[in-house]
Amino acid sequence: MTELSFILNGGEVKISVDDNELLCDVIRDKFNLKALNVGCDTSSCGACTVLLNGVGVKSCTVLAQQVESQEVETLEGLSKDGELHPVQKAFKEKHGLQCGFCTPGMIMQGVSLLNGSNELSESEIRIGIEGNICRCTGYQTIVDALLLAQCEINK
Amino acid sequence: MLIAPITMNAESYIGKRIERIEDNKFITTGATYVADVKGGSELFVEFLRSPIAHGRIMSLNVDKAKASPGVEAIYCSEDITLVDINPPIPLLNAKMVRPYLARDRVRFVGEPIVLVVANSARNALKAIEEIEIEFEDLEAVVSLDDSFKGEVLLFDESESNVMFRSDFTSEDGDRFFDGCDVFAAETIVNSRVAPCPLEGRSAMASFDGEKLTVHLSTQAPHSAKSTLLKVLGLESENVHVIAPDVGGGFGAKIGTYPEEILVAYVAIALVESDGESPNTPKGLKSVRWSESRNESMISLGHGRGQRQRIEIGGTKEGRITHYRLSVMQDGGAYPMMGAFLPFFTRRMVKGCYDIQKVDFMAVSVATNTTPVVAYRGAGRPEATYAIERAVELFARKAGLDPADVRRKNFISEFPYDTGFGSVYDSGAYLTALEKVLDYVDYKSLRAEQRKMRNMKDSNKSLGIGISSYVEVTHGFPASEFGSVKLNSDGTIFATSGTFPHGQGHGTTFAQIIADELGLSLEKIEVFFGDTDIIPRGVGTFGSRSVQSGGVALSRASKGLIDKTLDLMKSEFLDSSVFFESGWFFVDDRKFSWEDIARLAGSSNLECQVDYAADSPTFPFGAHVCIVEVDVETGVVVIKRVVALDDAGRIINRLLADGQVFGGLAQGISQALYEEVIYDENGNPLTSTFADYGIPSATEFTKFERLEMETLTTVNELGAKGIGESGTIGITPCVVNAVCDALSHLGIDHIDMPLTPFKVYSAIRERSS
Ligand code: FES
Ligand code: FES
Repeated sequence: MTELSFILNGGEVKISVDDNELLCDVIRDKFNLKALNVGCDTSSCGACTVLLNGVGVKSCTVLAQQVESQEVETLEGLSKDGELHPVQKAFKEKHGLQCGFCTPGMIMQGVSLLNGSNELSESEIRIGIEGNICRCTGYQTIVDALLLAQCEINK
Repeated sequence: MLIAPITMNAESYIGKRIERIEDNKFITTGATYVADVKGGSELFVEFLRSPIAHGRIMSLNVDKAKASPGVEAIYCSEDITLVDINPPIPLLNAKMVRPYLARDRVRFVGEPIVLVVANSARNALKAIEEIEIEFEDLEAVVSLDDSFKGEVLLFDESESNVMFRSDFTSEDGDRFFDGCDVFAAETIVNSRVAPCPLEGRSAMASFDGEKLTVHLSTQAPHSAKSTLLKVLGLESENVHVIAPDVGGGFGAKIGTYPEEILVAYVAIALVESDGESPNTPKGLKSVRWSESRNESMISLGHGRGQRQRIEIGGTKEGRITHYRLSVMQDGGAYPMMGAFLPFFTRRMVKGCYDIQKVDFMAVSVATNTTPVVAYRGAGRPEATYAIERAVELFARKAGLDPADVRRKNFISEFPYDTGFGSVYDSGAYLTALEKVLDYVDYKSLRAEQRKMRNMKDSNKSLGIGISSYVEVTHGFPASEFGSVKLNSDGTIFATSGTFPHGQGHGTTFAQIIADELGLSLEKIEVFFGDTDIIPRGVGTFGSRSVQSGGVALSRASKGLIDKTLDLMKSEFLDSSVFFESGWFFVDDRKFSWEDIARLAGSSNLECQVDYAADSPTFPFGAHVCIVEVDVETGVVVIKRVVALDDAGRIINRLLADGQVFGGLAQGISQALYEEVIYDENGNPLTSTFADYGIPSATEFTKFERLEMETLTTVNELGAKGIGESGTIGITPCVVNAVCDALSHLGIDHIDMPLTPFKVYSAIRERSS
């Protein structure tokens, strides 16, 4: 067991974790934040993506202890004061989700991608979400949503 | 009951692009899947699964595992008191019976043998490592031919490995094609694929001594309830199935799997044996199981898996007069829906073409592989693939343009009885094809192709693929339930027996109700997936939901208006009472739904409808795909995908786009990337997302969608289904495109998936 403290969705949290416990399990089971999903066992699907210090990571590949003193953000922490993030809004507007299983990871990866980057082209966006699998949408509406969000952010 | 077609105006919600009502939760806190539902005191189920494809269990010892930390109970086949599973359809081989847990014999890698219940999934998995088991290997039957030969039988009780058959009707044999100027034939494989819903199967069950509650990731909660009632021998009021949000199904979650039933069984058994349990306190326990991706890849049903012999003949002018399709279907180790897929293939055997002489035969066989089930399209994509490849080969043999051949052979009068169990309701196949061809400027494309071929040093070859398709939706019209109820604040609560798992019926159906009642969309809530709240239902599959559940709700809305009018008439005797655009008019006064709710007080204003369509509907369309093939590396790059899918009246254009795009992606993916592979011993080589060719965003290009709406008269909405059409049309279209790109090299056909290696090998073989 390791005593761990980190910033989760803007607030400091403390918890003790097993040495081999994964970040995805800790977030889901110990903090009861169920947005992120576990969709595979080979780090292939990206449904578990969260932001670690603002950058998208697959939380199934991160040991919980690795986030000591770091900042972790999940989908639940994305909208501020009830105001949706442009990526969230765009997913709704462009129908960027169907069953929703990939969505929490996809949105976080999208946020990471658009964070401080220059204007991304459609194919750069496709490459940027390459690690996130969606079985429902054929990706088109997700790409459209991220292009739209990019416009909003850069406005 | 004959009901006039709906009328629409500029204000109508039907036909618009409307954002999903249900999205707010999904984009802020995420959906609630079974794994997210809180249980009581929780127990976890894991399975020891067969590591070999075919063998006898020689010894099995779970004593050590029982003593493993946190273990609550362990079940082997003999501990399960349920009657073995019979094939789901009477036409399938009844001797192929499946025990819930393998008994004596294992028949595919992944087949569950032992069920372990522990206080955590981790402890359950640890205990599984302590199980001692020995097998005697039996020869694995993997190829269809070996299975058909029957030298090794999967079931001792059955004298052959045949699960299902449908024989040729004509006796002509070799002479079937007599008199044809042009004849083409090929043996093609419609590869086995894995449905891969991103959420795997997941179940949570609890039993309070009387009532069983099961949370299930399913496409059909009410069917799951019927299955549970039947196999567990419970009364209807004692089984409650709840399907929370479901992370995709694609056909693979229509039926209820042995593992899911076992979770419910264990929940009951543990309560009934209470007192002996060492690790958990007495009382309500929830037992849950969520499969891992690896489990899902090898034990959630697979899709497709047909080998087809296509033979086609006709005149040199391009009139197709003869077509014969022989199918061998891989059913996998136990007969499930997959063994029955040829039945659906048969129904759509003719495609869009008016062919005089058609024949069909099929045989489904058992192999030591994961059972095959329905996968997006289920039997219809296979029919379309066969006929669209055949037409292409015919055109090539006749030296004609494939578009021209299609033009010459389309069915143009409706209704059209195919003679194979389908009566096409409405269609405009030629118009659909001309529209896509105009849109891509087909003539110029062909000119460009010729130009590229004449460029000596280019290693890129342009391919143009076409497909025209017709498919059947709501294939077996079953009665669907819908209810519409006025709440005390004037809002509406509706329920439906269909069950969306990504399709967005919550919005689509609200649009239908809102238009009928003259209310704004926010006032309407549509609820799904709880068998205690919704008395009956069928579920969502086969692109049936709008044309069954949607129509039921449209009628229930009308019924609610009628009921209200009756109430008003009895309130206001001798007054003229009528309803228009959301208002009830009584002489010179008018009442809103809110007023009605107040007036009605406690009188129950609800209308329930069970609606059964008279017949299925037949959506159709035309797709064009343009590819560039690198003849030196075999790499295929998709340049354009243009899809026209006509499913009659579209309720929500935004969501229809989504269905088509998602379908296109899955269809393209089968053509180019995905395939479930077994080695000769029946070991799965594609059992994780790292091995299986599941595509990411970079594998696709932007899809272009053209719209057309040819209404059906089967229902008053004029709607057919659009959930599977994208998948059905595009697969042959892509393969046609690649084969078109290679036609000048003398390559007629390459089997899917058209990986660089396969394409390259085909080119090499030809040029050497
Ligand atoms: S769960 Fe699939 S990548 Fe993390
Ligand atoms: S919306 Fe279902 S997996 Fe992406």
